[in-house]
Amino acid sequence: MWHATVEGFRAVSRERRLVLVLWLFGLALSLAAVFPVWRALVLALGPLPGADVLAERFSAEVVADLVELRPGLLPGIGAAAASTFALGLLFGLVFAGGALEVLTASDERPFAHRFGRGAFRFFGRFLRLAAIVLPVAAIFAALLAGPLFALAGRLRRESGAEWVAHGTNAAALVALGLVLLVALLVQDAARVRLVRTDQRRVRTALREGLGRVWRNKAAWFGAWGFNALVLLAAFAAYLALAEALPAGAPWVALALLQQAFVIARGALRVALLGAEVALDAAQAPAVLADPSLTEDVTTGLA
Amino acid sequence: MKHGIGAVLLALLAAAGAADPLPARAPEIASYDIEVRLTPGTQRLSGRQRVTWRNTTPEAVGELWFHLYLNAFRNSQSTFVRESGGQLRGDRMPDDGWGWTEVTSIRTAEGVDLAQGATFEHPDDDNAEDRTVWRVPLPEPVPPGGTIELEMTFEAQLPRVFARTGYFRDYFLVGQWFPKLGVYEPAGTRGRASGGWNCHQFHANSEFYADFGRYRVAITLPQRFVVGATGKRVDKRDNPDGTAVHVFEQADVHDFAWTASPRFVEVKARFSGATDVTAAEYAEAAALLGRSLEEVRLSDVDVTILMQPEHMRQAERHVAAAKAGIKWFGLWYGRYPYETLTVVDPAYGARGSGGMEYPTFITAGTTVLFNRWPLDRLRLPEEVTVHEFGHQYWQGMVASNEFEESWLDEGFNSYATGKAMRQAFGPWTLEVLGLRVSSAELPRLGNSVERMFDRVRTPAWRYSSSNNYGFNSYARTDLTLRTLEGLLGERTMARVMRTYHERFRFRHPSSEDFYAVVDEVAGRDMRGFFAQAVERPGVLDDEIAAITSARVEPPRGVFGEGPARRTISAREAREQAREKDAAGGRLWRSTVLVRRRGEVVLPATLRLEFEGGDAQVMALSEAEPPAGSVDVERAGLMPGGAGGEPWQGRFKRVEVVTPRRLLAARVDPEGRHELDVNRLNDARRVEPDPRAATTWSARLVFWMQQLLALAGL
Repeated sequence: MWHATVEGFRAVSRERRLVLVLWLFGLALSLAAVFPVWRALVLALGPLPGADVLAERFSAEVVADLVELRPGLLPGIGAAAASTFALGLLFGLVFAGGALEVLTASDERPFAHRFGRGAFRFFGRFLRLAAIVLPVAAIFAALLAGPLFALAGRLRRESGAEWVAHGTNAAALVALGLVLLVALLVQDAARVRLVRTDQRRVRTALREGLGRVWRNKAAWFGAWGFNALVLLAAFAAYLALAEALPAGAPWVALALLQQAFVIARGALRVALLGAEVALDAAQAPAVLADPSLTEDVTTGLA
Repeated sequence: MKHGIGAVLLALLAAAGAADPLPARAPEIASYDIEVRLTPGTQRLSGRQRVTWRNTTPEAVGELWFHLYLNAFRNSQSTFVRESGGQLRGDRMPDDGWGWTEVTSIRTAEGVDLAQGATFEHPDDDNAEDRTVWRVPLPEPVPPGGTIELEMTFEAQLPRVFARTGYFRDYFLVGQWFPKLGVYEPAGTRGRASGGWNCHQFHANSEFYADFGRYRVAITLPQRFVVGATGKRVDKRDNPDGTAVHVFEQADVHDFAWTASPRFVEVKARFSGATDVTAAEYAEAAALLGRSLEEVRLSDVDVTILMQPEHMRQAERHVAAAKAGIKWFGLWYGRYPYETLTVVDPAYGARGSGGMEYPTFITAGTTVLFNRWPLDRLRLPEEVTVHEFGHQYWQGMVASNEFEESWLDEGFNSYATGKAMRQAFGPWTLEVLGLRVSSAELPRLGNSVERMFDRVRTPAWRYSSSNNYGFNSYARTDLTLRTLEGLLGERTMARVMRTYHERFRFRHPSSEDFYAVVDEVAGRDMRGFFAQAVERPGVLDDEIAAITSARVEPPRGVFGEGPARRTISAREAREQAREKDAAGGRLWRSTVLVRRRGEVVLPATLRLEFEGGDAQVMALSEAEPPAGSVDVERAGLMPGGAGGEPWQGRFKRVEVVTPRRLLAARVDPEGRHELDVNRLNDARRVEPDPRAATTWSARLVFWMQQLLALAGL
């Protein structure tokens, strides 16, 4: 696990442009989603001195008044968020293909070529993979967490044991999280298999990915756990610094701090992918795609 | 001079010797001596009670009306269950958790059986299935000043806890449990044309109304139970059969409730009028109210908190909240006259019994989640404790009719609770993960979005929904009283509330009584305010609909006649403008359009803010402006907030010509109109300021990026 984790961070250092691409992808999508919201907010809040308090802090009263004045504003923000999330799902597939190709390919083509090659070649396969993983994960989550939630509700009504009821609710949430985590790790492992073997059979890759994670649980969960811990530490540092900003600090200061955190988060995402590639390689070092074949398929040239 | 000093001394002596305006005792009208036995396995009560009713009215009374509240839970046909649909106060009625009560005998002290002619009544809705009101004809009327004594026995089945009362496993909250007399109101009382019993059915959206008296209750139940109740425990003895008898007594109250559970942890504390209130606080309260120090002096109170074991980390918070209530309500409205206060922390699973008030006995409500970060800064346990304590004043002592005028207790208490919470615990009621909501903001949230305005003075069960009842009786009344405070000033409002409490402690006031006190203390007629804010469903919403400010253009065109006729061209006008600009002498013409989006008309001022920090404040008035007032003349405004009939129209266009540019305009700049449904539109500036929008957009970008990361990007 530590070897894979170190390999992951080495990958970040080697392929810094991946972090840059990830950040720019996210920033561009977010800006595109928020720009119309900003225009609507300027029109809505700009002329109203009562809204100035929002520049300093959240005010429930002002937001409630705003909702009454502009009923379409919050649904508009919600729609922007939903669209961004949907786009994120699609672009996430694109990025994952490109990033894994960059991290695994041994040819000397330019970065953009390798990234684009992976992004387009694996998009369809990753999409099919997600179409299998998500419903299966949802079914498992419902089977595991559903009865626990129902039990918590019954305990709340019948038992009077408050800690037990809350604990059961928490256990249901943990079960949900665990299913999600397993699904994500298995999906990542399958993606690595797809890229490293260039196979087209998604279900085979999924089985292999599941096998990888199952046989080496400690390493896969450990690598993810360490990554998550570092992410938590980064988030705590961000919160502390944001809190330390003086009340009258310009919004640019907060924005810069936020982008620093987003870049750190991007680096950790790439580090996790790098670690997962290393884990897969450690479990099956011999199975590597033929670079010449890769080239042929990508370019369509003999 | 000598004469003057003597007069002052005499006045001081007179003040010192003057009777305390707080009445010491309540009239004893309906008194109860009850023996009750609880059988935990069956959740049954067996009771015997001696009821003494004194006719303090000038009318002979030939029948008695009783509340049999527990029959509200008897079946799905009761008015209560029909109206609530089995859901109330965030709680759901458990399946088959029925409750009922039955009077098994009723006789006069002379042994005359009264049960034969008794009938169930349904004065509010003609629901023949409802058995919550019981009418008992008497063999002969009770004359004015006369007394009747009744001996009654009853059996009751407690419901599974729902809507304030019942059992949950081995936890019992026993409220509305004994056959209880209504209130006989003679003709003229609160607008009655003829005398009669005020004894409403038990509704989903209404509470209680009863006469004062003395209670002595002996409760028998297994020895393992910890018991708390209204009043003071005067005796406790163990029986050989494993039961114990707990005896409680209390005078000057109009209800009695009790609780029992073996799991309660009893926390004792004492509020001290000497040490829990500083000399400065006493002096400040006396000055605010215009009362002597002796009049605001508080008594000691024994506080008992019955905590659930898992909530013990919050015991001190409950004690602090109870003491805060005793202190601030005592200082502002009059000392708490009872020796005890019991606060019950309901069992988990029995939330329906939380947040309820009975004389000297209240139920709070919390959760283990509030034990620790990040929810330990939610002040909800404090809020509910202070609120329920506040009902000792607004409903407990000032015993208004909760069925018919719920705003007089719930709304008054919400207003008072907010003030006490801010005084004792600071402005924030909810603080979690950096988000804060103040107690002042909370009532405004529903006010803005929902616009559920109905007539505040509506019988509680006639509101269109629970939400409507809740908003109008609690939040809207709170905002109405805060608006009244804005109009009268803090000091006058404090004296209004104090006077109202003093005058109606241990009585049954109506809305008119409060209006009269306001007029008297404020020294002006405020009926117009109450007519709009309480008696009608109108909305208050004044806004600045539009605002402009532009330089005054020099005149162009043809001027003068005959040989003096002269044409000023556009180019000449522009040059004139440039010259004036260079000399700094060009004026600004600014217009403000004030729009009334609601129906409520309150005296309001308009503040115009100009470049350089200048401001002009004017009253929005119907009156003609004084002659010679150049700038405000066209606007029809009275300068400087000088009274006059408030402006009644829908739109008012204000135009001013000034040397400085107008930056912003604010209606109600002092923020006195708390009732305004949207305070954000009270002000508008000429040039938009994008700071708030940009700050939140930057945050949104960040959170969108986090969302994308969740999506896998």
